[in-house]
Amino acid sequence: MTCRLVKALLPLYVSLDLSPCLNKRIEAHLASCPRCQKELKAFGAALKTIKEAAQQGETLEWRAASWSSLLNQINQEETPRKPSATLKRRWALASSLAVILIGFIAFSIYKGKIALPWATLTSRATPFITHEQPIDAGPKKELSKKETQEKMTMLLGENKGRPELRRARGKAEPLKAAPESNETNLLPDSLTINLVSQESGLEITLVLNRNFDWKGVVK
Amino acid sequence: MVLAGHKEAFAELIYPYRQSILRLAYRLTGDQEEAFDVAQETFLRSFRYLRRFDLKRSFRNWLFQIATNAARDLIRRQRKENDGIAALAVSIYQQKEGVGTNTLAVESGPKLTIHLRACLSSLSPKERQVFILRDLEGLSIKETASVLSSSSISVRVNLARARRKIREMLEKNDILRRLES
Repeated sequence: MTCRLVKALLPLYVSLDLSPCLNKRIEAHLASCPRCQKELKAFGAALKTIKEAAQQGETLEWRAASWSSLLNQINQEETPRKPSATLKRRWALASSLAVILIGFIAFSIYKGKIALPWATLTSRATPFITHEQPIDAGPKKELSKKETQEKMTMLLGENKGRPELRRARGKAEPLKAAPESNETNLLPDSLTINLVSQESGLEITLVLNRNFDWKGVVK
Repeated sequence: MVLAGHKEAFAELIYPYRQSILRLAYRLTGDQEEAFDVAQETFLRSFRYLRRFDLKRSFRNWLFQIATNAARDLIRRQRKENDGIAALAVSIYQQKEGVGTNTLAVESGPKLTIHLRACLSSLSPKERQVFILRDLEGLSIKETASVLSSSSISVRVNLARARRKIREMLEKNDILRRLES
């Protein structure tokens, strides 16, 4: 143990306020260190002096008037009592009701009978989360195949199996898909729609690319 | 008996502790009038909260705890925290020991008391409480921790600081040598 450490612990060692183990170690150090012994003596003297000062000096006595005034105040106070049985019963009843109420509310929330405010906010917020691009949002982004399929479904109606489209005056040809490069390629890169008038024999071919941008040919 | 409505029994209960509580209050506040206020408040509070008293605890230590809290409340209320008291006491101490002052603290005791007051005033509130309870009232570390509602480690740390400061103060003002001579 170093002198520095012993010096730091001396204020507590002087009254043996340290653990027995530390006390022993400091004792062992002190036996061989006169400087620390001197330091301990100085601490002991200071503490003794201040304790003597405390014992000698302060002889403050209760005045009779102060004491009787205190006793009068105590007599005016209500007698401290243990909580009554009625009060205990009321507390028990109130806590039971609170537990039942909380349980009922929790059950209703769980079953969805009560909508939580944050849940409403979430559902309201959902429409703002959209994958659609704004119209004037700069250069158009290439849509993925899945997005294109969704867009097609939305535009052509839910009946995917419908063989042809009918327009006001024309008869739509069955949808012709561009040849797929492989089996995983479910969608064509371009879509061709042929409209043929039965009366005049006019045939219009609309060619749409993957993003449904019109780049059609009119015949 | 007190809880059964015998108020006179309470007076008998607190009588043996009245001097020690008043002394503790005086040491904590440093003022006679405030000490009486704190002591009265201590006994009133102890009467009010008597049913909360844990019979396993020491009644004296419980009263000490109430007195410490009452003194702390009073000091806070009157804005006489450490700085104010320290400045006042140290200035008194540095002027001339007990000569030509009207302060109760200086009038009421011999030289040693003045030194004690000056030393206590140089401590922080927590250090002062720990030092008074441990060294002047003779409580153990564990009891002091219980009274102050703090840990034993905290008490030890504050006690070591307080003792170091007091020793420095005594050495700085050469009090030990003067008292010996």
